[in-house]
Amino acid sequence: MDKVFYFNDIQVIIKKIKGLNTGYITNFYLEVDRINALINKNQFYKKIIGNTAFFFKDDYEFIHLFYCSSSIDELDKSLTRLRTEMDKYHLVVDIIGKQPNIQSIAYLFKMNGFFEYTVLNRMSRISIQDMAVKSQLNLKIDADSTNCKQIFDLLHQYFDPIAEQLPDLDEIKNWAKSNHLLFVEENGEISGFVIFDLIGVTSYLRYWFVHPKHRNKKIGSILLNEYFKRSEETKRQIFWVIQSNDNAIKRYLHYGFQSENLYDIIVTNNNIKYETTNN
Amino acid sequence: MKQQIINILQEIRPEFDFSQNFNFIEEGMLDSFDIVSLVTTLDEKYHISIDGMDILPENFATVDSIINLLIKNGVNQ
Repeated sequence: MDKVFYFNDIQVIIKKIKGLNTGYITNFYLEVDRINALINKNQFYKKIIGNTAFFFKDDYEFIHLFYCSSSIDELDKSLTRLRTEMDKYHLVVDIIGKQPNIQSIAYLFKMNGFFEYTVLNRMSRISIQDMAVKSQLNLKIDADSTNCKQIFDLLHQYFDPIAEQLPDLDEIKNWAKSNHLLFVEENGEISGFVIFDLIGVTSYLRYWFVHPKHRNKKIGSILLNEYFKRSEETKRQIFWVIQSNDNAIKRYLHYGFQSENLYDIIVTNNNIKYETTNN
Repeated sequence: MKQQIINILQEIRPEFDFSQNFNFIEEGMLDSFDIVSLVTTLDEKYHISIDGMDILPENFATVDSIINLLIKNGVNQ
């Protein structure tokens, strides 16, 4: 793996790969600011094998793998070599797209030593009337660095790092700065929080959490309703949910979210499953 | 060509009106997933391969910028 120093390096590689064929396939979405942040933190690497460019995001416990290939056959050949060269690393791949299109790519990975970890589904909600919830709870937006650290710790304790792309502390602080982090605090402890992004007419619900000790107090409903209020200028709200999490899906359906035909099949070269490690 | 582009965008995100003069990226009407779908659709429909250097959000921000991108990649208007 070679370190990526400039965003332009990535563009040059993609130009070369994409110019080879019209069957270009990728799971790499160019979010310029995010990738530049990773480059600056020395977390972004590259490796070219045949007609495929692989990019690697170092998540410390494992490595997120991205591919840009001139065709599905070329990806197959390159994966066979990647498997032997990178077997000592724990690799995680998000294969994102519509069903059934992404099944063939997932199959390719499985034939090359990867295992399905779990599947996420994108759900969205076109803005509708919110459901009022009365409460005396003190909902806060002014998270200080101690609150941010507590939230970081809760995310890493209760969320799945492979499936749920956990943010670092700087990202949490940025959400707090932009008032996109709402939380409930009781006796110095965070009992629940919601984190979101607002981009024009779209709102992205990133994380919604109620501490197990504080469930059945309507904290979750209060947080979600406040999130809806703050998203009232948007036309749709979006988030990703683990497909096997029936309880969560029922809750989201209750709030008016609907499943989209957009899936993320997560595969890894370790034979582990979300449904086994989280139950 | 303008109407063809609007129709393609509408297929990707039917809930939005792409005939308005918005910046689709800043307005949150298209995200990075949508751009990858859009590149694939445009490549297939116009039998081109959009240059990898051009796959940047600003080139997909308006119908006009998409048309310019297609012309740059060899599509006749």
